[in-house]
Amino acid sequence: MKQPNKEMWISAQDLRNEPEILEAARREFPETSVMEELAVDDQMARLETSRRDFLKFLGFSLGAATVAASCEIPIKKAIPYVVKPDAIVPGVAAYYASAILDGGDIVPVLVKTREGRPIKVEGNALSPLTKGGTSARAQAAVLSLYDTYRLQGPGKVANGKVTASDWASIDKSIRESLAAGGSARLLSRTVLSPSGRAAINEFIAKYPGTVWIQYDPISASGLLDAQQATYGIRAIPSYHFDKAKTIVSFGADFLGTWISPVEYANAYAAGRKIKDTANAQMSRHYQVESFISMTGSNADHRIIIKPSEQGAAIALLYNEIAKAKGAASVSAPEINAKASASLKKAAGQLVAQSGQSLVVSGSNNPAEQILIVRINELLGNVGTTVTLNDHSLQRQGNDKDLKQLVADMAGGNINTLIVLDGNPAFDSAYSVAFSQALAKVKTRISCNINLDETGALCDFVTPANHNLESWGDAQPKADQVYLLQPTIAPLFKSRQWEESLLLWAESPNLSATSDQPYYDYVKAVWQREFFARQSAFATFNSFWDNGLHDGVLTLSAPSFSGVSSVDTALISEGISKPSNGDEIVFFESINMGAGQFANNPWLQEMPDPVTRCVWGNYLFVPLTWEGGNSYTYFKGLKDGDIVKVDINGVSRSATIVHQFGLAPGTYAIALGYGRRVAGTAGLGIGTDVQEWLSSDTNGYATYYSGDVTIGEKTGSDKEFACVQHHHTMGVTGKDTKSGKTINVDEKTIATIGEGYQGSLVNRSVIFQGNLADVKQLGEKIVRKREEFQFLNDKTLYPSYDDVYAMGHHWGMHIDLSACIGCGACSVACIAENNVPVVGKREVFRHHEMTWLRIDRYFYGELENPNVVYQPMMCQHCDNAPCENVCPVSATNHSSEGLNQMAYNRCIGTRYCANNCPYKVRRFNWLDYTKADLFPANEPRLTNEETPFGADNLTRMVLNPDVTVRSRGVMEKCSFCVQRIQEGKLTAKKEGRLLRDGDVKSACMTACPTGAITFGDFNNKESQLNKNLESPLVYQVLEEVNTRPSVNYQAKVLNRDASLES
Amino acid sequence: MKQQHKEVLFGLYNDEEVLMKAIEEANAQHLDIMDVYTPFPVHGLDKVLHLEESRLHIAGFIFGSMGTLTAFLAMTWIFTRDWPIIFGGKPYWSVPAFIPITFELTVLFAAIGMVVSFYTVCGLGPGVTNAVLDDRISDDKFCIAFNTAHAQDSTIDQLKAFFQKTGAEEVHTKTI
Amino acid sequence: MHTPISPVRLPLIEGNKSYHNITEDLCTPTEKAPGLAWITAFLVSVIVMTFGLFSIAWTVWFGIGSWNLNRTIGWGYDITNFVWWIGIGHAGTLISAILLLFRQKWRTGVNRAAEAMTIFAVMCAGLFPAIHTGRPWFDFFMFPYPNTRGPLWVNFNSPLLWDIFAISTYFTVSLLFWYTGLVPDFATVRDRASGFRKKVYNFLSFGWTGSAKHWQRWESLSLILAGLATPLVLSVHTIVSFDFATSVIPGWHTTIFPPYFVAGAIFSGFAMVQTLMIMTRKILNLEQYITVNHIESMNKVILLTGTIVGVAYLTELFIAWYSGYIYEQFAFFNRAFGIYWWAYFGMMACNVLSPQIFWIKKIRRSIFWTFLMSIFVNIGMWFERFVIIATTLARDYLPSSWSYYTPTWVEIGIYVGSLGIFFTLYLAFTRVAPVVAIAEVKHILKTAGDQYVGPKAVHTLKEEVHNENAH
Repeated sequence: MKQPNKEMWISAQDLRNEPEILEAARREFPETSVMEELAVDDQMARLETSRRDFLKFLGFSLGAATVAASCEIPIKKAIPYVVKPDAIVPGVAAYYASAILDGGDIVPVLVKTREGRPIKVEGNALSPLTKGGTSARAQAAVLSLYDTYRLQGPGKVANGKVTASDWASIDKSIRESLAAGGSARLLSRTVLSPSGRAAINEFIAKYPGTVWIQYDPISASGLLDAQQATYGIRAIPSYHFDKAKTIVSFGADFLGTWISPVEYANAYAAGRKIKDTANAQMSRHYQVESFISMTGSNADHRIIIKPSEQGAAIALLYNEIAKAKGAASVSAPEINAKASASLKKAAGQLVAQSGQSLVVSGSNNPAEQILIVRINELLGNVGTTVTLNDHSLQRQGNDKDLKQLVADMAGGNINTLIVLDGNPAFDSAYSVAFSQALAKVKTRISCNINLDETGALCDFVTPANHNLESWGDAQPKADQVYLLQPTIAPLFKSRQWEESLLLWAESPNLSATSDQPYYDYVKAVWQREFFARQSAFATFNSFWDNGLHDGVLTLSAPSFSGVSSVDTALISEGISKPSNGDEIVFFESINMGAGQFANNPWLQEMPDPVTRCVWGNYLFVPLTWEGGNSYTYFKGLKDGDIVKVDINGVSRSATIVHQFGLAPGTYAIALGYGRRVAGTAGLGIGTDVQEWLSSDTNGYATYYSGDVTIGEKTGSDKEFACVQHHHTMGVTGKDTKSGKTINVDEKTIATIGEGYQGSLVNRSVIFQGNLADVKQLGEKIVRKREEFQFLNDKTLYPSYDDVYAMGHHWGMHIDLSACIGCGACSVACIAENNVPVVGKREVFRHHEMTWLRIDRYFYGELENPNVVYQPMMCQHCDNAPCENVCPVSATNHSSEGLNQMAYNRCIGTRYCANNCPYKVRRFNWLDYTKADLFPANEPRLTNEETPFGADNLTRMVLNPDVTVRSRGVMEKCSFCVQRIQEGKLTAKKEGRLLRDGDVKSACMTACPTGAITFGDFNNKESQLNKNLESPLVYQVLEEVNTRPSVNYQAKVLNRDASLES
Repeated sequence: MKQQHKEVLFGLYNDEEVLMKAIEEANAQHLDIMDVYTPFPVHGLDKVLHLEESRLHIAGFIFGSMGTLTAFLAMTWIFTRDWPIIFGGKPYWSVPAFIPITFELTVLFAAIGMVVSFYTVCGLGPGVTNAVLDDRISDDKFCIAFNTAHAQDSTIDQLKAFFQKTGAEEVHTKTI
Repeated sequence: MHTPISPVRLPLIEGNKSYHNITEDLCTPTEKAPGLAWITAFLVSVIVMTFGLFSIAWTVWFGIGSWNLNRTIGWGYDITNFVWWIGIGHAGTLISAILLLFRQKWRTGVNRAAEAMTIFAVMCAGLFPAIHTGRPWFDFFMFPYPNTRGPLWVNFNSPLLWDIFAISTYFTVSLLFWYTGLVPDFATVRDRASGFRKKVYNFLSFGWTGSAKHWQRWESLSLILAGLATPLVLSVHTIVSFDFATSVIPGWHTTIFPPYFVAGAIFSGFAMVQTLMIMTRKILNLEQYITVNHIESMNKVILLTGTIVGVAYLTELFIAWYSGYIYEQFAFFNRAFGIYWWAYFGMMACNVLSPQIFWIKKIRRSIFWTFLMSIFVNIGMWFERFVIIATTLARDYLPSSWSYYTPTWVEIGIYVGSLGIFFTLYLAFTRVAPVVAIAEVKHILKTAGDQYVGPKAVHTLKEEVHNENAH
């Protein structure tokens, strides 16, 4: 098979782009939808009747079990291809360049398909946007493709119930209602697709009077309008965090959720990595916020303000800088003393680094955003860290338009509303009003792939394809266009909304004859729009093929100039005013977004980076400590208690979790939970906070509320699922008795007695320091490691160094300064290694299965601690304690230094897990995968209808290269041994040595910041060995002499000594 | 023990002290005692009966050594020849780790070996039925038995007299 | 080979017994119908056992997930019970072997029952490693046998595998030792029986005749077996302690474990013997064979071993502090003051403090106190294992993984069930075999019967015995 310009690909991936692959894919999944072909799993029927009654148990004995064990596993039929599509080689993965698109969020990827099934996405290293990084959401997208809850075809909706129908009749009635006249409205989230826009324009041309409204669930209207007001262009500038020496962010969670997190994280980390300790360079990051966001947890300084103080804080910073730069000041209300003091310091720093600093804000208040623009202008950052010619289009929504739409709908003068994309009845700031107004619209159509709150209120559901089934394109930035290609034929009778629009518009440009009409349409658009704008390719076909292959097209950025000044007086009117009294922040969580991922168990079970809680959104309440022997809990409540929360008269109950670093009298809770219409995974998980969202007088959504009362405890969550409890690495506070500063947490781990200082901070688990004394930190680590080595040399046995010196010796390097805790690696690991989802109750019982977890430790001052994230997976110790104790040799060591598991030899004594100092081994407590030889019996124990992944559709996501583990078996990180083998095999086939980078673990490829480096110790040129040269590199618990193969690089912050309290 | 039926003349005593004296008397008269039966091990009996020392301990030693060798050699062969695997950075031939199992097998072999040999040489074992001269022997009677299969009447009288003399409670003949 | 007996030594057989009396007293329980007390006890045990079996079936069917163990705490009730039972299983062989070597006459009163107890306790112990695995139907993987999976062998480095060998050896040897002792007594029962029972006991007695040569061999066999069993009994709990001592987890990785575990085992073993004996002698009215003197001697052992265990606890703490190794220091700090502090103090109270009351002779000889204490000690020793296993695992190296553990009804069910199994077997045993070794008691009658020694002894006879012992 041909592998066009393969040299470009550092990893041995076969990229194929023959159009006939689609033909092939179609032959594998013919027009009759896949679900009809898949036999219903006969086990499912038996679930309900799975052994219940006492007598059967009595009769059941170990003997019976042994018999059962000796029984044959039922034979499964495998039907070979009649005509094998030449692009599909069984056992060989094919990769297709595409992108994961979610409203304005885009992650360019290569989709890995096996036997025609997309099973994994890898970041597209060619993308100038993400440079190969991915996000947890993107990694989880393949699972949404195989969501059993997806609409299986078009249908009519009557009071929330869908009755299946066929496209012909649905199209007919839609055309009729459109033809009937009256004004139509198209509503969508941000549309990045040029072809999509073209389709929409054709539709509007066909039905004049139609208006297209874009909205963003988490609105950026304020930001956009600010740009409009200042630069006359309603687009988001490109922020270059890598170029910034000082970063000040006002509540913008730019590493987790804000605008383009993968892009920003990548750039941010570039400015945070310590290359060499001699003259270490590093940006300084101030995060001004009200609760610990993921971005805040990575900041050097968190400046704590109340949500309502944000405007004032921005104004304060502006005035400081204006003073320095001799510009007019604005009237700024007072904010809390500590914050203003810190902000003044920050201002000094910013001025000192004019042109090399960056100030951003997540505020949705245009006045505040204008101030931000002015600040960056004054600092001369525009053109360096803030550029507009390559502006970003990733948010285009407009709150005012949405407000207007709701008004029009309520006015009853909307005939047809087509929701192309998005779930405004749930995820917009106007969800309530929208839902009510929707009733007044005559014909309502939803194109979402699931039945959601909006769809349930519509007349027709015309489900669109999943991202991975669709043709399309996306222009996230002025100078970048991405091509989306399907990697599997539609599983269901769905049709992407662009195609639907064109059909309803009876567009002449949509060829009726073609069996891929929209494919041709996109192609045409590209020929029209982009082929002209480039010179690299002479013929369109080569241009197109290249587009399919690379997935990305870089255009020359349009030039941009000019700044219009703004009346500052007007601004000071606009900014939000501080108010006293309790306040609550509503924020977007890194995994759930605005709720669009509720049906995705991988994301539901992905722990929140900071709270480490799963399956729900939890109300953050402040945590203080007044000496004695315990924290002062908020109202004496414990984590997991349920309280009543009243906001603007709407009352809901929420489960609380205590958090460090909240502003006093401030609470926070994530958006996107408590879905009312969703699949089993997402239905009613967490608290629905959408109704609490409000908008200011100008219609801009506000993401905090000043009118909140936390009621008394009403109960407690019996299954409070949190994978990591309070444990810290020494959060310090003042001891009331002795009066001196001590490690608070260490005092509280003792139920009785005085606590034991040093028992946590002195562990060789986390090493962290400050940029100022990074040299000393390096020396300290080196010295400690020498001590450990001295102890370890006292070993009784000789080592296998000579064995490991031969061939490969796999190892890993993780830079804790670069790790931002986003969790992309852990979801990637789940996808790559078929790690089961266990559900809330099992996580509550600490039965989670993730091979790669991200430990979170707090350190520093109690009120405002710093956070270090530590990705923790099997350390593949050369002296592995687990291997010695396994009685059946199920786990042992490979000559390449891998600690390997023989699943079918494992009998599950759990001795290995007990003896693992890193506690990374995971045991299949129950039959999570339905791979057991007894009938599935989990529903009984996990309170779920069927264990997740039991159905044949979801099983399509499984990676055929990795065994699905059965109940009673131990499992753990394998260093992606299947990838190692694949890499070695490819190298062998090509008759060459394995090159560095040929083998990359799933976590490494997923990481947006390049914090993880996998490689071969024996390859002296490998990046791994280069990274290991740093004196900051250490091994966790090295003194135990387990000789781990995973090396960590100490966490370094760039704190301003003068800000230390 | 395969024997055709034989005539047995035996006397029952009430006390082991008396029994001992009787045996010494029998030795003095050079009477050929077939066997002595007691309800419990009477110490010193083996001396007066001139029974030679039991050699069970030798068997025990041999079996024990077999156990030691079996265990140690088997483990050595398995881990160095048959299928060497790396466990936790230990050498294939990690002797200290072999000690416990070696010891256990030594004990096991020795114990089983000795017990089996004991029952074999004693001709005891599941299903074996030996003639019992008198049911009370396992209770509180001490018995000296003479084989009178081919004895002349004179000898029998002499034995009877002996029993009289040594104070046997009862004297019986029995064919077994 | 009579040992000289000091006139001050107290009699171990009371009631001026003749050889025949002994036979009568000790055989009748196997002959006459059981009393009400026995029947009630037996029924209760069987019911409890049934519940235990049900819980086991539940576990095997649903998986270990029906227990509350988690990613951090991989062992809880299961291994705690295992070690607890194994410990209890130590007294029997200890009494019969070591006390035989030390020529302690008082062992004859209790060794038979104690050995039976050992065997049943080891059975209960063996149950737990068997069912605690995730896939118990594959437990046979743990035995080294040539197989069709290529030359796939077990891991001889694994302490768990050492356990398999140690326990199976211990069980076999104890069984042989016990049964060889039983053979002459079965013969006694056989000679008193008739009809079917005679056939059965004839089979059980292996055709024993009581021939002088057999007795000679029998004695030397017992002696050598005792010689073998002595190091064995010490090795077994040593190896069990290796399960923890050879690990890397602070609080487990402790060189003091072997002696400390052995002492603890003897401690709990004797306690359980006391519990059983006090009940047995009452139910089968054997007060004259299992006398207060026996009980007192065992209480002395309990006092000694209890104190040894106490010293071990303190040594642990000292070494942890002295080591300067923070993980170790924290582990022990956590034991005493952490989340499971109550278990630690329960252990200290029951194992170290309470046995000290045995310094008082009155209490040492009081049935009531002895019984109470024996229960205390068993509870305390259970706590000890729980502390070592659960507390240690709950708080190990990485704070991120710390967790907590409370058992489910299934785990408790299995534990209680194992007690049911144990008592069912023991009660059955008291009906089929003489609970006291008849031959051995007869053997010591003249040196320990109260008509020969002690205050009630008839002088002339005693003289005789003395003369007898002279040569």
